Amino acid sequence: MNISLTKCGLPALCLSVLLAGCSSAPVDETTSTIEDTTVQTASVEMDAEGAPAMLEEIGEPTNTAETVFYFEFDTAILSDETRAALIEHAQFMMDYPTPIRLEGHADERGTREYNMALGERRANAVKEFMVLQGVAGSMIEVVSYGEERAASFGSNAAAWSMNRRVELK
Amino acid sequence: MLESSEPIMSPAWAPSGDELAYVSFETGRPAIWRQSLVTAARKQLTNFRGLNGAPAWSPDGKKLAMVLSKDGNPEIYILDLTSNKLSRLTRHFAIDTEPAWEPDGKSLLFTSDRGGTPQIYKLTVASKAVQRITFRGNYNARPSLAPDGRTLVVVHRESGVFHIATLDLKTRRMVELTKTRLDESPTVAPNGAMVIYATKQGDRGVLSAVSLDAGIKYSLPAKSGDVREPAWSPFLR
Repeated sequence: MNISLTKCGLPALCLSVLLAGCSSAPVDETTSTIEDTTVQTASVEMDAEGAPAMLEEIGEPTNTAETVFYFEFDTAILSDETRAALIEHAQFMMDYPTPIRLEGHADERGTREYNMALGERRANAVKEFMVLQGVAGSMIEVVSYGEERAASFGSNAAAWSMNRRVELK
Repeated sequence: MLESSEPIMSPAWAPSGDELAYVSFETGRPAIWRQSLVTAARKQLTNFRGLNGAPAWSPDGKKLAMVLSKDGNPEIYILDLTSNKLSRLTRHFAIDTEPAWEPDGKSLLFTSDRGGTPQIYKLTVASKAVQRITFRGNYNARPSLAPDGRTLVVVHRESGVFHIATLDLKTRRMVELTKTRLDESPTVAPNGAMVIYATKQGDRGVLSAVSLDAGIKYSLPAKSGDVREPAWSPFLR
């Protein structure tokens, strides 16, 4: 969605002001690079007598578990469904290590910056659970969008419940 | 001034009135930027993993308070804009966010859920001592001080509904200013008399204004789209 920043009533300034910032780069910490290792496999199925039944070539391994997880208002507690899906994802990631990104969200109620923190708390809860299952933390990036990326627009309980979520990508 | 298909949020005026700081997701993660309103030149100030948010200029314009979660959870930091040095102010496993400077530059008000739900706290910069300020209702967030330093404007929830409320820091009296719903992002006019805030009309985001004594209320028209996050410039005209 396109967003413009609008000013409230600023008169035109006739000053010429140089932006005197430091010439240094933005402040950050050195981050380790995440390796992108996708594993291609060919699967050989054996029938009851032990002879190869069919030689199948599988391209990219896929995983059909749910990738969106929902939360109650103002909490970051994982539901039973979420845990079950995450166990599947964790197993898949340990078999086929692939970096993933967890995007945390909140519904529109409350303040925007607090909701950024709440979205991050939810995504971190998902990450921690996966790490407990054995996934390497370095494979999981966490980003919060707070209330900024609603999945469902509308100011009602149904829309809000669709927005309190973490998406696995 | 800035258009993006990625979210932009939390615009904050520098006290000089010729710069803004804000949060932009254009790099794929939230980062804090500063931008000149005269030349439109802009510079990315932070690039940490996790949250980079809620920039707030110190009254002398030399420092930016901000929220970073790079050390494990959202904490308040101060970035010295001259030396580029970062100092950490809070040290608690709860969410600490939305810093707002007191006019003397010696303390910050901020939102924290260290007590269980979001409330307003005051942090003395030199000692890092923290003191709780709000006690009414189970949600008080986004502190914004009127220029006299005595009236605190917050987003307040009671009985499940979000309103803008004021807290008189001397008398401790809390007054609900608004009766519209889903109110957020209050910002106090430099003359201390009006608050502009974001609210919903139907499904649309709109801006409304209310006087600090809750006597006058009006909606600001917007042709289309959602309007959010007003920020008064430091200029009075």
